[in-house]
Amino acid sequence: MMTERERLLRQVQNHAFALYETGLYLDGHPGNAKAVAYFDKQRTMWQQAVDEYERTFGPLTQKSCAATEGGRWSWIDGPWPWEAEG
Amino acid sequence: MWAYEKKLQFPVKIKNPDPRAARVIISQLGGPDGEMGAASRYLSQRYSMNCDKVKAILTDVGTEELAHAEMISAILYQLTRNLTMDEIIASGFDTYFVDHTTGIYPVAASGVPFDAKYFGVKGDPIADLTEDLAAEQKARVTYDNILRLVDDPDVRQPIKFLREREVVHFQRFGDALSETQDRLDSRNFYAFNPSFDSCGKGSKKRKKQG
Repeated sequence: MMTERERLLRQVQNHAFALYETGLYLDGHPGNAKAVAYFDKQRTMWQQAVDEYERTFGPLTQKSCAATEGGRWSWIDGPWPWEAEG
Repeated sequence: MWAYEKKLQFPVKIKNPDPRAARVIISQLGGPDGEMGAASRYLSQRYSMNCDKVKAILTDVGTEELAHAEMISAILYQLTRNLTMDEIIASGFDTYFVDHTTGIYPVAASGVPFDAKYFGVKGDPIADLTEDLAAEQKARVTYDNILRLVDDPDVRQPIKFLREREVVHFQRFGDALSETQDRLDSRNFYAFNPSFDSCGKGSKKRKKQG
């Protein structure tokens, strides 16, 4: 059974992977309009997934830290990714 | 520059420690075809590429390899948690334990520490990209061998993902090599380094001097 944190993180991972994989393909085929359109679609979904995750479970990047918890440096909060993440 | 994302590329969640499995999987961190060598290889080679597509592919694959080194490290960390001294001795993990306890240090399964000799930078796009194609295949074989040695589905799942990435990278480096070859003079294919020679101008000068 997945926790809510694991479920939301999995969504981030799925869309981030789709973005990375499409981006890597586009490196070698930059003129492929279908792949560019897919990248754009995934980017929207990735951003939504990141926002949803960060609202409850803290920042995924240092740059988004301040936006998630006013006045406190929550970047340091565990669990860190290697500590049995979902 | 690089920025850290506080997540793994693919989830690693291992319930049961297994120091024997850690002893072989560690080769994909610090071994001859491991992720640390892969990241160092691509991120070092990219400077002497002569075409933007290839610079992008090496940058992005090299960056992904850093994420793979983190995944392997997470697997090793989780496989070596909460061990008793009896388990450490019985599994043969004691020879690593004596130097590193359960810290993550890049070595091959044989115990040989990571070495920059595991990869090359020739400064010639065809030579370097050909090495990269072979490197992805060798890493794929290492993952196949790990899958022959490890039964736990919690461990096999991320290892299968990493194996699959080697196959995809091989395809992308295939794109990179054909892009590079398309730009070469077909009559002068291997006598010319597009990153170094200036289309014959340099050689004319040398002839005049000689």
